[in-house]
Amino acid sequence: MKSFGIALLWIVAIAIALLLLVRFGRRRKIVLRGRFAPHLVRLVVLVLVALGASAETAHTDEGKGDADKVGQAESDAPDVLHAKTIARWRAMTANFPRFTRAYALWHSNPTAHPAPATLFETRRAGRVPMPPRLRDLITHESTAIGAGEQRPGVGAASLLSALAEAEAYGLIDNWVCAFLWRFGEADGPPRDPAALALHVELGKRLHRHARLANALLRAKAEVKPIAYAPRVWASKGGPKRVVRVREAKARRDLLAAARRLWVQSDAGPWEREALVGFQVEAGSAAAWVLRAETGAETSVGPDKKLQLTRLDLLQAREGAGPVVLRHTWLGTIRLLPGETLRSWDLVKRLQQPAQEKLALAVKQALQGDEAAAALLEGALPLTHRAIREGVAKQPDAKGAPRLRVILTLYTD
Amino acid sequence: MGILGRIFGRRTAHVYETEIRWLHRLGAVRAPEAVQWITTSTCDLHCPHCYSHAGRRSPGELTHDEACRLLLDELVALDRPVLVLAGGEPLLRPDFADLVAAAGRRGIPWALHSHGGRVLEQLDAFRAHLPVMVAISLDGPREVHDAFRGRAGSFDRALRAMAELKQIGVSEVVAGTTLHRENADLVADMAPIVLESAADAWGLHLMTPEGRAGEHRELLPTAPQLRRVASFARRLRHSFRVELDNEWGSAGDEDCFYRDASFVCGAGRFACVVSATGEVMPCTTTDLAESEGNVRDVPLSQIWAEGFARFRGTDDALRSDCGDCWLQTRNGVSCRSAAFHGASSTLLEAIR
Repeated sequence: MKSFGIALLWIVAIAIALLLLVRFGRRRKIVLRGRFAPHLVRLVVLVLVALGASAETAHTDEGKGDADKVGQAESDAPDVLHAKTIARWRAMTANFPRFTRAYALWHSNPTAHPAPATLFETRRAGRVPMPPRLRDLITHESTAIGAGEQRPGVGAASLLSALAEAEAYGLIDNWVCAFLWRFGEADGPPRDPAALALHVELGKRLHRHARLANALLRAKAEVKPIAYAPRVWASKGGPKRVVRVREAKARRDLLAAARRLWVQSDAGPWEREALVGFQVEAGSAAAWVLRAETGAETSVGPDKKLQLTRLDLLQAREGAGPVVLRHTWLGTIRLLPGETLRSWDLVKRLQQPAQEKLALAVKQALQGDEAAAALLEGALPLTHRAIREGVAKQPDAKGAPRLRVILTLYTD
Repeated sequence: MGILGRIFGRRTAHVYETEIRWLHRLGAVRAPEAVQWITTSTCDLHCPHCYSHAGRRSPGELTHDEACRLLLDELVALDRPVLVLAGGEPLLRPDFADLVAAAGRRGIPWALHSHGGRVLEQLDAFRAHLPVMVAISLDGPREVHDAFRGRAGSFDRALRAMAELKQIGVSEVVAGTTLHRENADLVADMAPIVLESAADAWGLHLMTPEGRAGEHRELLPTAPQLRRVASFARRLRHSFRVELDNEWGSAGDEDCFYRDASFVCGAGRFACVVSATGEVMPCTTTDLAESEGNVRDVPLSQIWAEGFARFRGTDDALRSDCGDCWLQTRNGVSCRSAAFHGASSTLLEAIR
């Protein structure tokens, strides 16, 4: 029976091949139509690509530059990447944006939209299985902001446990990363070794979370049926295509892809945007940078340059002298021996002349000066507070909309 | 997922490109996924960023009978791709409802690009044959939109059109924003408006300096603006379906952070555009030198099968690059590629 089936398949294949040859022989151009022909062609093309006989100038040769990394052990992938998390993540990604959309609306105008805390009581939001610690933080924040107060400060230990719980719920999302990180603003810098260890760990875990979220997004984009057709003009050409892959298969494939892509994924904007650069002043003690990405502690000596992401920590070591850093536009920042600063703390160390320069730049940017806005954007860890205050005072100023976009690049 | 599935998943754009080229060498092409028809150049607005000179009706526009015979019947022969009705303002065609009904009788799915101001008068036509997608233009907050469109109340009408279309069951309503220098920095202010509207998605397009927009090159967005918008959109995608549309070109292996499906330029490969007078173009370019023929002279299915060689082969460097929008590149829109790579000073540094 089996050999009969195989023989039948061969006959069908030869018949199709002959048919195609006859049509090509007539030198008439063929438009592939129907249900099966395009699928069959796709299979043949995939075999050609597998054999290396592919397009000569493919510009979107995905992952080419990382080919050497793929061989790295997938065991590098964090333990949280397992089958259960993937199943939960799939459910979360279907539901969570409903909540974040409502949150964004409330944030844009707290008086016109229901507070996120009240959303938990509605039937719709009830479908979002919010991790309890995250839910408490959201409530905490919306209560404070609703009362006209600032977002409350929350310690690194609480943020770490909320993050771990979110991951266990399958809530692996860059929104979570930014939401938790923002609670650091009202919290102070680490003042003792135990607090420092927690802050180092928080930076590492937030960075890892962003990498995980990006690896999952990449994996999701990878897992689709081979007959999947390209979308023309993106959201202008037709309906969104729902990728239908059998649930169990999709989960298995997603997990495999995410574990592999973890190696190639970075933390995206957390590594590339809202950076600030300094030069260590001549005569200063060496500055230490505690990198969230690698967990490495790097010493940067006098006259050398350093660049900080929002998740890195900056330190002056005990026993050495003070660290003096120069920013090309906003002047010097000083750290006393034993001090560690987070991105949030840098702004508090600006000298008076720098504050005046900042105030002037914000004023000019609000009037629509593009160069001033560019200066502010180029040093967001030092300028975000002044921008926020300026925009709050003059929300209708000509340059305010641009500054609102720029602010999101630091806070979101 | 078998080994072929893995290859497809990892190298989707590469597979599409290979398929197009091999089929072309063998004298074949896939049926199009979508055919856009510029139904008319008539428009009751006068937007500076219009890619055509929309306003008055062009002489020689396809009549209703011609549209049915030369377009709709041909689309049936091409496996019924999505017919995208655009303009001008398509709802200003007196036979709009009849056209939609004719498409419905032939089982052709349709989509619409509109300014939204005339939707409410035509709801019955929509109900009779529901479109698969409607994109309504939204240029900014109320004052900006109305000033730019040159008509007070057009912002409110656009939002109301979106709400009504959702109400009658249109599965996908898209708010479409064409970015230019005056509104690119308004995206943070626009986001709550779009999130609160009935739209399912927000498509961010780039102004192309052709048609009337070609006379307003000073409105082209700057490179820093595009970078900020891309960064903003990437973040907003956590909460809402924002997509950077094809004019932006590919973000390579980061495409998944900016749009739902990998970018491939569809011009002459998966899609084409039929002008109001029947010229078959690779995309919405108004440059008649790019025409592959007129549906009045040659059947659309034949033009599709035999034309667009420069988009399917490798001889024309500009047009054979599936990873870029050839039209934006040709027209020199400021540094779209930098938009995807954050604040890094050079592209190489950004890609790492």
